[in-house]
Amino acid sequence: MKDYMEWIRTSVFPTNFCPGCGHGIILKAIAHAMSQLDIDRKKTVFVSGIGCSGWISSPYIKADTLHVTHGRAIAYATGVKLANPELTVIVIGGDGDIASIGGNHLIHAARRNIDLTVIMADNQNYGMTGGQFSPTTPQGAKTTTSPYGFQERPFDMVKLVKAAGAQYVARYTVAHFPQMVNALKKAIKTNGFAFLHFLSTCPTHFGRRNITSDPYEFLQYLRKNSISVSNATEKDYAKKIVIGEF
Amino acid sequence: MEYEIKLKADWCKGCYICVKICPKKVFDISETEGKHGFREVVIARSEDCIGCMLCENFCPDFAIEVMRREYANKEN
Amino acid sequence: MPTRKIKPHLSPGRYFMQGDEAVAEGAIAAGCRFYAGYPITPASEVILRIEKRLREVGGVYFQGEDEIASIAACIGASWTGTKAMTATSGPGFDLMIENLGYAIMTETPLVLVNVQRAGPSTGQAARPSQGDFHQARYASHGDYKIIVLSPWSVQEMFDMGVKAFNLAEEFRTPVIILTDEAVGHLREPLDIPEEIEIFDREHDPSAPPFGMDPENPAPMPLFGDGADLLITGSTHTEWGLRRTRDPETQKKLITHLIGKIRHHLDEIVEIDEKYMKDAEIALVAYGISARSALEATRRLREKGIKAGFLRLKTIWPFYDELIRNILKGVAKIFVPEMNVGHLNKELERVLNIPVISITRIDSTVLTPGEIVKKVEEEL
Repeated sequence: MKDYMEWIRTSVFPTNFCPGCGHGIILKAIAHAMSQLDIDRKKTVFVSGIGCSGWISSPYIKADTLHVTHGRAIAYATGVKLANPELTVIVIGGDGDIASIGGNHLIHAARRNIDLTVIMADNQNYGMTGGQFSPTTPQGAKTTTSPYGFQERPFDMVKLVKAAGAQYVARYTVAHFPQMVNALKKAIKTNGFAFLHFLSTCPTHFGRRNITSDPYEFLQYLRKNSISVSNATEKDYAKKIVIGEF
Repeated sequence: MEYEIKLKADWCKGCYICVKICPKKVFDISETEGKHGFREVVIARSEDCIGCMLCENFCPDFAIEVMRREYANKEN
Repeated sequence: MPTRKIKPHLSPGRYFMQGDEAVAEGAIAAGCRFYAGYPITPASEVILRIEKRLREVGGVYFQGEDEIASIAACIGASWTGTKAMTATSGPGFDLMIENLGYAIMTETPLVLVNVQRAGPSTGQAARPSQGDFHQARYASHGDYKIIVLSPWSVQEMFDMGVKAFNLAEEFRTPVIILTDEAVGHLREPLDIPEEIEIFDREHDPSAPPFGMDPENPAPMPLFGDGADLLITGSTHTEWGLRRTRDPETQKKLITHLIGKIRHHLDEIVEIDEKYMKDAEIALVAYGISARSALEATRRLREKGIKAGFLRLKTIWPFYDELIRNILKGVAKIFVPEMNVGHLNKELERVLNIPVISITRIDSTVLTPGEIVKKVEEEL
């Protein structure tokens, strides 16, 4: 088994993720990054909330994991970090957990610049409960609670968290594997609040209704519709996925 | 022959990312359904593997490991 | 159970303090080194005192963005082995309920001070009430048991501040100190002893994170032990693996959560009795109302009425058997409370004798005189 597998709790595999779910790729990127950083696994705590993304660390990561109430992972993580600053504390959540119910805790943690890394596995809908819209669902998208097209506007998570005061902010998609690994390494090494916006794929719900239910095609879609922040113009922000470090 | 590919059939969910992403078409979709009721992935042309790691990196289920043969042998 | 005697951080002697301040001092004395809270009347004074002390002892004061963040941070801190506390009142407690349930489900030691104010909703921030008696017990959804203490003096705010931590650590549960604005804002003498007894949770890095024994609490591993802990609010095995479709696991879990407290009532429950030996009637009360009730009992005795006095220092768990035993031979009981009637309902459930409720719902402390008057009317 490769080094990065040390971070994976294989005893509970195969995972509960749907076939082709991008969250599995994020899980892998995390394992690679942790392994390459040579972090002490015994002094690392992953805090996650409710939803499919909560499962990325609980139970699939082999370290101390704290699976908490919906939206509150960042608050719990703050308590862990303040009480024992020696621990490396990483938060994983989805668009609902981090940006909707957890939105308040997110902006305050960024404001405080507390030494946490928050990974948002954004699949642009509430997967676990059946594909309802979320604060990151694109306007016009079809979801189970917006069958005629989502009426609201989504957040630009990068702009939001940066404005709140985060020290390191980056966005990539699950189609950008090595970039995710590098961003994870940088974020964890940041001595302050680091936020990673990882666009993930939900072939079962959001994908099937808006892009494709084919996992490979969904990855291709993310690749084709991404543009690096250094090349992006204002117009691109509306139509494309702007990736990079911000 | 330079690379060895390990495929954990128990963890494969038949999403076929590996089959489609491989630049050398190393993988195929099985002709028959496996014990879980879907057509699983099989290694068809492992000798064509160039070690690009796309299959390993993008398999959401950790079902694929690609290693240089000399390292693979050391492990075994 | 490994208790140890320590010297409190304050030198022994008599102090003059407010109830809220005293509970903060009690927490620090017991070893609390993490406080997370959000200011709210009438509990804000707890924050002011504990922030000062935590700076002195090298602890952490975290002012959460709201009560939800505050209790969440306390629970996270507790899993690093740190004794943690939060204090609030009705509207804040309401916000904390979901995560209170999480602390119960994950068997996390935690102390929560609820300084009751007149409700419902915003109500009257700086006026007392005892209306949250049942809420303290049943707030979170699902089945569980919880420990709730009821101090009636500044001295008890300190003493129960210590006791709450000891019980929380021993039984791996949140413990609520249910007080009210009257006791919280009261200023009285407080005696700090030479030594206090404190209990630290049984830390075992190799232990499963959760207990499944139907009668006893379990030792607790901590973050950083290298135990790869799986802590979750979902129904779980003792190792924290989720079993969200298995009826057997659910049954075992609930049996443990209830049993670890239900089988230790003698260690947990404290009831104070006075004048009970030949009592024909009894006044049963808790918190600030008990002070008026005690004085009323004395006055009734002076008038030749054989009145006894019972004070619930621990209001939950409700010790049915003990209460029945103490009140054996009593023909009638009177229950003064500052609410529409809460404790009386529990006593009605447990006893076969008439239970007469003496209540005030005007956010004002009951006077001994009005209790005496009501008792005399009924007799």
